[in-house]
Amino acid sequence: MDTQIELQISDLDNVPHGKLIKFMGDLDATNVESTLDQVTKLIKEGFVQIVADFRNLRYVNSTGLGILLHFSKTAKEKSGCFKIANVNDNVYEIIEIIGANTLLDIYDNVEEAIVSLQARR
Amino acid sequence: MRISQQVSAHDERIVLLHFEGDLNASDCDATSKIFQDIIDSRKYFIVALMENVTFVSSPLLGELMGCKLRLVEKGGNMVVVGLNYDLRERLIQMGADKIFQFYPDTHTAYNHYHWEYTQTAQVVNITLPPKLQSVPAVRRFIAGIAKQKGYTSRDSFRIETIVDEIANNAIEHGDTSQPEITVELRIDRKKFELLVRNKTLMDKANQLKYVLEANKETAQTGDTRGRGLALVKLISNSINVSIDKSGTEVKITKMREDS
Repeated sequence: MDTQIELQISDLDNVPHGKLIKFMGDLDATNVESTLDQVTKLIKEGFVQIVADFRNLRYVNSTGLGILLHFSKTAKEKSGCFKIANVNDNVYEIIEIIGANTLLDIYDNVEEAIVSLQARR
Repeated sequence: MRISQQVSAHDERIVLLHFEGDLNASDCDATSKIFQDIIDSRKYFIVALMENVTFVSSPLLGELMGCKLRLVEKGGNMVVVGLNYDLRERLIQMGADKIFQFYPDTHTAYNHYHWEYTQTAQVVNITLPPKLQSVPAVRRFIAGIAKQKGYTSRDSFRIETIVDEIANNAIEHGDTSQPEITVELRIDRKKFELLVRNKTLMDKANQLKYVLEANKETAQTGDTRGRGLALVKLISNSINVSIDKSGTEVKITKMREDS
């Protein structure tokens, strides 16, 4: 059985081309494809200012980290950005160990991530 | 207060101390002497049976804490068994649960003793089909065992990551006709060992060895291969791969972080 990952997507107030994506569950090899499809679709539609809220993301493995790096790279190529907020300690440690913390924009909370997006304008 | 003692029939290194009645301040000296006599007889593990205890005074609780300290200094311990609900609540209010482990029965206390002091290991064997969908349940099950055995949340999460990455790797790079993957887990108080066996195509197996030997320690955005193995290498204490015609065997050891 696949693990459950649910993405709740909403607009970001006062951020043109912005979306907030709430990740809920485990991001692993069983659901990276569906996650990749959903976020790639958003980016293709022009929503390139993205904040990913990880408050309810319990687990990420290396495959999941791979697509997060991909989202970050793709958004930057389209003059946007992919920012991450509310990362739990265990997940952050994995991100840090693998060295991805230097490649991803990580914030303590969603508000800080949004303020940084607004400052870019 | 009345105290009687007997050597456990289960293990002669354990002494059962039966306490009865009210444990008052005036019983401190007698209690201390009994503990000292037990320690002098070179027995350092005590199960305090308290099902017939009706009251524990603060001074006597302090005395028991001191006795436990003397046992711990000798590499032993004391646990408490059979407290009634009211007394247990009262002792918790007094902070005794920070010092003593409370168990409902002697059987559970013996389990604790074996786990903590006799290098007892639990072995779990799992066979799973070579499908990615089978991995999440296995990784969460194994992480749950680690947590239940007293490993920290951080350790359990790392163990979950190790199981996930190694099992996924065995599936993704395994021979597509392989019938199953076997996972053997051995866990004791100090370390966790994982053995994953599968049939891997020789060229894939050699890639696996290359990734491990390449000493990769970070992952770049364009580098999609070997990130999982690099991660496992960094969060475990040792990783060994053996490859022959019958298949690939990956053995990982991770020490408990507070051991």
